[in-house]
Amino acid sequence: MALLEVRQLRVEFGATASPLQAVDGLDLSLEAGEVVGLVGESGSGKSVASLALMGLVDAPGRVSAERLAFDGRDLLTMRPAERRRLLGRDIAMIFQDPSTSLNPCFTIGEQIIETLAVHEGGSRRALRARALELLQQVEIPDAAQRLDAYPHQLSGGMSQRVMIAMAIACNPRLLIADEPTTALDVTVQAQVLQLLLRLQRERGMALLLITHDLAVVSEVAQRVVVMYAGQVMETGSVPAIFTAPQHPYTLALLEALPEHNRGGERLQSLPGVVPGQFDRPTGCLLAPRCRFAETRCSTKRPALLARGVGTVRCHFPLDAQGASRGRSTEAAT
Amino acid sequence: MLAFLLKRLAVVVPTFLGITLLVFSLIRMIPGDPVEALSGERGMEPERYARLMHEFGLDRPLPVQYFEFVGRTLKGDLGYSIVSHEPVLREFLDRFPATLELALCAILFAMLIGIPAGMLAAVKRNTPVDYGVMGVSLAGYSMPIFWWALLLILFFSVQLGWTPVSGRLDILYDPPKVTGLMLIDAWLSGEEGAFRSAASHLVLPTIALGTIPLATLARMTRSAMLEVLREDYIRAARAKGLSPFRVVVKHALRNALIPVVTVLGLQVGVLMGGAVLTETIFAWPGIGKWLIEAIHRRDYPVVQGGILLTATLVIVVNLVVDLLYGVINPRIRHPR
Repeated sequence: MALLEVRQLRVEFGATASPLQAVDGLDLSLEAGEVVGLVGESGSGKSVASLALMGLVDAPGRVSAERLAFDGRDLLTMRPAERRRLLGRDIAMIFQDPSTSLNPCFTIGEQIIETLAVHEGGSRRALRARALELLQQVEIPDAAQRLDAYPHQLSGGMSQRVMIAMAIACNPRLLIADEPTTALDVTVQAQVLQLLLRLQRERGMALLLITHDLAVVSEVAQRVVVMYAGQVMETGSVPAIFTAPQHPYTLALLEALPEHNRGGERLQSLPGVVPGQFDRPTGCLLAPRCRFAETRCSTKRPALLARGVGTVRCHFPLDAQGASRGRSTEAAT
Repeated sequence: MLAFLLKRLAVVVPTFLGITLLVFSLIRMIPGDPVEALSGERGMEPERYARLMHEFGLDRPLPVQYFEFVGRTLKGDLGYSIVSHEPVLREFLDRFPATLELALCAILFAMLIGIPAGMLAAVKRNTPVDYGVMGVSLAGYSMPIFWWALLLILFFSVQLGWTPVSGRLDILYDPPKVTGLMLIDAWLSGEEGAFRSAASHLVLPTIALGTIPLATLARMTRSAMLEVLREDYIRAARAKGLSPFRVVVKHALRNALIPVVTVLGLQVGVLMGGAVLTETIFAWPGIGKWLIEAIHRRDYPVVQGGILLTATLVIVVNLVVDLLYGVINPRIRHPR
């Protein structure tokens, strides 16, 4: 049984008649101790999906799913108080911008202790000792002094370490990291990522790493889920996706990596933007931006189908050479 | 922090001088003078009038009078009341506890109801609760104090007979003056019913005076809360599995209080202005009523000294509020 099972997760905002579909039927599963990368460009619904998993989407946002279960327990039918007990204890989350995710009015020690106190309890002294230990585990120098520091006294990298310490405080089995390094300096990004991976391995946590950076995913994840406009476009193992992407969107993301553009004058990019509330295509969501698109792509929305070792949502998936087989199959039929 | 304090203090000096000029000239713009007011309806022979004017120093040129007033004030001498011949400072201190008691009760009333109401409105944004709180607070904010006070008296005192119409205490009781705060003195006196009487006398003036600050606080708390509730750290707090109550009361309120405290400081000025009306209507023997009477009698030293002391109080309270920021906001207390 998977640790996290998500089937047909939907998150909608706005009027029921013409809602903004931020997440449109997301399927996702995570095994214990697995690292999965959830990638996609800005606006593809990654963050909203993760908030929906946490139960942090507020009205007027609407969340529905065929199944949303953690460790076999149905999160959707659970009472709110029961679900809260899972949050921070079994499922923890790290956010994109550490400098705004820490409450400016409380010391970082207080904020770490609070998580421990709510879920596990114990004497103030014992909790403080554990908070100190956590700060040491996330490699914060002078941890004892930092305990009484306020968030504004810390750098971005330090703040994210504190957020990580807070997230791992109760030994969660699933850690959702939403762009954990995006807001940090490039030099600090690698350090924080290494730290996150070390803790993941040591503690055997499952890690859902949400990012738009495929390079990061290739280094750390075992599996990748590629999202676009609220839908899963492709899933697969890291080696498979990076060597032979089947979806044109995945290919475009890979081509946009600076590493793939050595010697080139400009980085390759995918023209256009993610469709919004009112320009959502009836066919494949990527069709207007896809250089392989055929007529069928703009009339009929493809389903997510198993193909090879992964799944792909495309009428004309790419072959190993990165070429669409669309034209040939179209001609044959 | 010290530089901040010095900067604030530097602003106080011109403010203070401005107030002296304003209060000195405004009272003299009202037709009549103290001697005329003293003489009553039948008037007074011109020679006697001139002699009295000379005695009070009111026949000298205005600039001379003004600089003498400022000079004496700077030495801490506020002069004597023309009517009672008592030192202005002593008269002020005699009446101040009554106003202080009323103002404290009013601000407490405003805080205890206004801040939770604003929080509730923010959390229940765009629901009937929110509309209700905001509607009532707008009505409260718009209600003139004298009108509101009269309505309260008509309904609760006259119609229902629940509260006394005016004064601080039933004449049956005469607690020894210890603190000057009637609630405490009545309680200390141990006389049966004295505390109850003092409390029932306080209810309506407190509501009348506290309503505008209450409405202001509720609206301010709501908007500050709405802003804070959108912050990332609120989402992060919820992700820790904290209860909604804890998230709102601990994580959100603490941050929302920063602008609310500013408004609270400004309300002291509103409160002193409102006290003049409230005290007059409820015959509350405090600073407000004393000043109104002094204006009627053109008691220049009392008006000047009384307003100056009140203004000083407002300035000091606002300074204290600025210092309070540091306590609430660690970004000021602990610079990088």
